[in-house]
Amino acid sequence: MISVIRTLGGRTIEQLEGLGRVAVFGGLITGAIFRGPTRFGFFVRALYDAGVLSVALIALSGFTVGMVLGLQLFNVLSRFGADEGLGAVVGLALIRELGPVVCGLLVTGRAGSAVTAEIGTMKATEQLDGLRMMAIDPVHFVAMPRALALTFAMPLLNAIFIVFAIAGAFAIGVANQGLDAGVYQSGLENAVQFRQDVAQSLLKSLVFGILIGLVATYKGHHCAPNAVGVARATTSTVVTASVVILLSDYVITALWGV
Amino acid sequence: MRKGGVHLLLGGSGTGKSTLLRMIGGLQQPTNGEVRVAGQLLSGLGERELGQIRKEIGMLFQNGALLDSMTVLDNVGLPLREHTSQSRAEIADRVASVLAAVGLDGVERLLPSELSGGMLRRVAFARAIVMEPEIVLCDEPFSGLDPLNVIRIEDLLMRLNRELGLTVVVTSHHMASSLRMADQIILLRDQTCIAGSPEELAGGDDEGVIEFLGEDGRSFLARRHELEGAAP
Repeated sequence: MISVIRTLGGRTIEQLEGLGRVAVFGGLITGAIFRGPTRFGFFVRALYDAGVLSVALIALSGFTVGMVLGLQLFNVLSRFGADEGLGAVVGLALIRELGPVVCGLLVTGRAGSAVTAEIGTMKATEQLDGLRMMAIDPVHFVAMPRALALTFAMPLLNAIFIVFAIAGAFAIGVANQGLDAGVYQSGLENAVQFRQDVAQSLLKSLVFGILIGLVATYKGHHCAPNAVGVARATTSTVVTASVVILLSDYVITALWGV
Repeated sequence: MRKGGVHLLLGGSGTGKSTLLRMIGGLQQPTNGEVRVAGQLLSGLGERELGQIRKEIGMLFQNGALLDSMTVLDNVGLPLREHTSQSRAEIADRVASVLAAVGLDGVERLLPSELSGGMLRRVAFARAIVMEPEIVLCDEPFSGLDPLNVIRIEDLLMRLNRELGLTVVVTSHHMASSLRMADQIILLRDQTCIAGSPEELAGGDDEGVIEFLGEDGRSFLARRHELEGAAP
């Protein structure tokens, strides 16, 4: 019994220490943002990697999710004779909830894992130590531009995801199920408020971007410096960031009502 | 270790040669004892203070540690770009001259993945000396190099040592080159070390040292002793 409590206590302390280290690392990245030089070139390159290279995946996923959502909701709404509300329901569901969350999970898998693998490999091949020996802070040089890029890429990718998903639902509802295009569009326009829905959705995805960036760079910087360590860190990034997104989604929804 | 000397770290695999180099560079903390570089105690220093000391240290890592995503020009010029106010043209000139010194020409636009192992090590060596540091730490500088380039790097290190008073700390299994350069040998074994000039150690009766230097190493040192004695 005592050993169970001891193990449980040890694990809890370990987790708390881990959270503390993440917080300290977040502080280092924040400090690095306000310290020169700006690393703008590295930021743009990281934004291209995390953002532009994810557009195809996000657009295709968005369109598919929209199609499925459109079909499911059209069938359900038709049962109650409310199929004219398809545009409104699809728009609100995508903008307020599905867009930021699904996009966050996709970006974690596509870009977050890549950032961890890249930084982890740099650690395993002593590139980070090489930077230290040149009196260059690896957090400033490597982690900060990538974390910022993930943060800024998320709202943009979220917007793309939502647009394609709404188009996917439109394609199913209007072209396939015969709903009037004007009805779909007016329902969407009347239901969605910019400040309450769109702006909050972008803000939510910005928070998810910060979390993905922090988890991905932290895991890369703190992995064991070998192939197994990099593989574990990459997996851990996907798992941790996904759980963090889902948990923080609840917290943000409960606090802000988004 | 004496300032301006060439110090050779010897020892079997796993005796801590690379770890000792990393401790001198402040990348690792000793579990016992203390490390001082230019009289400054390293333990307890933050990354910023260590950074000031590291500006005077160039380090050649065993696998080169070049940044994969940057060209040779950007890799070698990185310390200059970060710590000096030189223009891009000045940096490019300086990089070209350092690359020429290590026997490389026209590789500035290549990525590390496009270089052979030997070229990669020479680029890494160029990066280690581009800032003209006071101390150079070299982890296996001769491994993977052809004999011509071994001599080239060895000559360069000795020239920098003679002309600029560079302190060199080398770990190497390339006995001939290492012994040719070394003022002091530090043999690590069983968590202790034996240090002395090559002649002292080769002439001593420590079986571990004799075994490590081998017949070739001892006869090489005897020839070096004779040549130095015969020199005017």
